[in-house]
Order: sequence, then structure tokens, then C-alpha cells
Amino acid sequence: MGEHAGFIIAAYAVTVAVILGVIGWTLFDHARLKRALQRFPARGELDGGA
Amino acid sequence: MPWAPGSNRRFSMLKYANPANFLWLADRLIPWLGGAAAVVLAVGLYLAFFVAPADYQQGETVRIMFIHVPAAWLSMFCYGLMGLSALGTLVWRHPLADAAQQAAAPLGAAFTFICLVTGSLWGKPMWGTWWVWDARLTSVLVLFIIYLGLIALWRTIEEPALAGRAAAILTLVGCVNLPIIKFSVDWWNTLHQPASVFRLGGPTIHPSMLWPLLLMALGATLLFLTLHLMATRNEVLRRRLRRLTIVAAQRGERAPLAAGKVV
Repeated sequence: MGEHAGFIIAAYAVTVAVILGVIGWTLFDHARLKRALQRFPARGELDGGA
Repeated sequence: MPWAPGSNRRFSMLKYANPANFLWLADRLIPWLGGAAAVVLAVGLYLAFFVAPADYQQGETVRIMFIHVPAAWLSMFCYGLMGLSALGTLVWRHPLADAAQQAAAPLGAAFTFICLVTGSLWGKPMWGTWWVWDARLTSVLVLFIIYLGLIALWRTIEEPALAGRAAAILTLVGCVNLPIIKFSVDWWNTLHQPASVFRLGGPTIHPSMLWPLLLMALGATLLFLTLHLMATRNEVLRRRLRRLTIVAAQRGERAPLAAGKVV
């Protein structure tokens, strides 16, 4: 990739790290919330409000 | 829910805006959207590295463009989405609009961060500097700070409905920055180049680079939409958990023995 390979690799590495971090955190957050909600009795479709 | 699912077509939009129906839809959409993002990004990256030529002036560093431009696009697209959600919060008081807006802020910050870092890593070999305080770079830095400010605001105000309204107002005020970012390269004398894709008179970029760039932008947008659906789903679940915890705590006050089982 020529004399500037370091800059190109660094740019892609930072991008991949940030995106994997966001994906990882979002999945972890989801699993954590699902686990916490399991302690409550199941709610039906009539659950109102966000 | 005041109507049975699917009973009235006129309410179909509202039906999916109901949090329980949103969760149902999000669970089904996320794998497909995520899969589509992965495929489009894989093809885009292949074209960007093995088909697109090196630039005659910039050499191989032009490969940074294929992530820098989509990240810049998403940093503004995300803010536009938050602006629309802010209207949904303030005008219709819709709880899902607030959840969508809150979920978008960290994603916007992440893509703006990618845009700033890749721009810096591109600027050093091409301009000879990591950073200049020109209008484009500065206005994007301001966008990044607005994202961080919004995230901080949600964390500062305990009551979600109140935090949502405050954040929605700040989001709408921050929208003034979007045209400044877009036209900064025309209004002021910037080191950053003017637009070469979305401009009157068509793109000035060669098709051999334009197509990989457009594919990368499409793939990045699909990735963003997937992440936004996932994050909004988390916000809806977080609010449900908060509500159930409060209800359980109130019941617990009346019946302390049952509290341990419920919470």
C-alpha cells in the first residue's frame, strides 16, 4: 500500500474497533436486560407505554 | 391496546409504533438488515481495495475515503433522524420517538468519532497536518460535542419523560449545525475539499471510485439502521424494566415478604 500504509491501516483498524465495540456493547446490553426482565412474570401484548 | 392487531389498516403505522409491536417487528427485522449490511459492506470493501484504482494525486491514501465519507454521511444522517424523533417527542409525545432518539445518540457519536479520526489520519499524509481549525473540521467537532452533550443530558435527568423533552429541545437547537457542516466548504475558505458526490452538476469523482464509495455508504447505512433498531429495542426493554421495578417496589412496600420474589 505504499509509503502511507500505516495511515490507511490505522484508519481501518480504528473503524473496525469502534464498530465491533458498539455491536458488542449493544448485544451485551440486550442480554443483560433480557436476563433482568426474566425475574418478572411474563407480560402480554397489553403492556402499554415504552 | 385499544384495537386488535391488524383490525384496522388505517392504524398500521401506529400499530408498529406501539412498543410491544415494535419489539416484535425489531426481532424479525434485525437479522435480515444485519445480514444485508454484512453482504453489501463485504462487496464494497472488495471493490474499494481490489477494483478501485489508487488516486493519481493522493495514491493509496484515497482508500481512507471509503470509510471516511460514509462515516461523515452517517454522522449527519443520524442527527437528522434524531431531529425527526425530537419532533415526535415534542409534538406527539410518543414514547417510542424518545427511545429512538436516545438510542441514536451514542451511534451518532461513534460515527462522528470515526469520521474525525479517519479524516485526521488522511490529513496527515495529504495536508501535512493532523488537524486544522477550518470551518468543516470545526463544525464536525461541534457535532461530536453536541452528541456527547445530549448523552450527558439523558444521564443527568433521572425522570425519563422530562429528560426526553429536554434532549428533544437541545436536539432541535443543534439542527442549525447541519447546514453549517454541509455548506461550510462553500461559505468559507477551507482546507477541506468541497463536495464531490452530492453536488449540482453531478459527481466529479470517477465511476471506478464512485461505485465502491456508494456501496460502502449503503452498507454503512444498513449497518447503522441495524444498530439503531437493536439500541432502540434495548431502550424499550430498559424502560419496561424500570417501570416493572418501580411497580414491584411499590407492591413491596405493602407486602414486604413478597418483594424478594418479585424484584
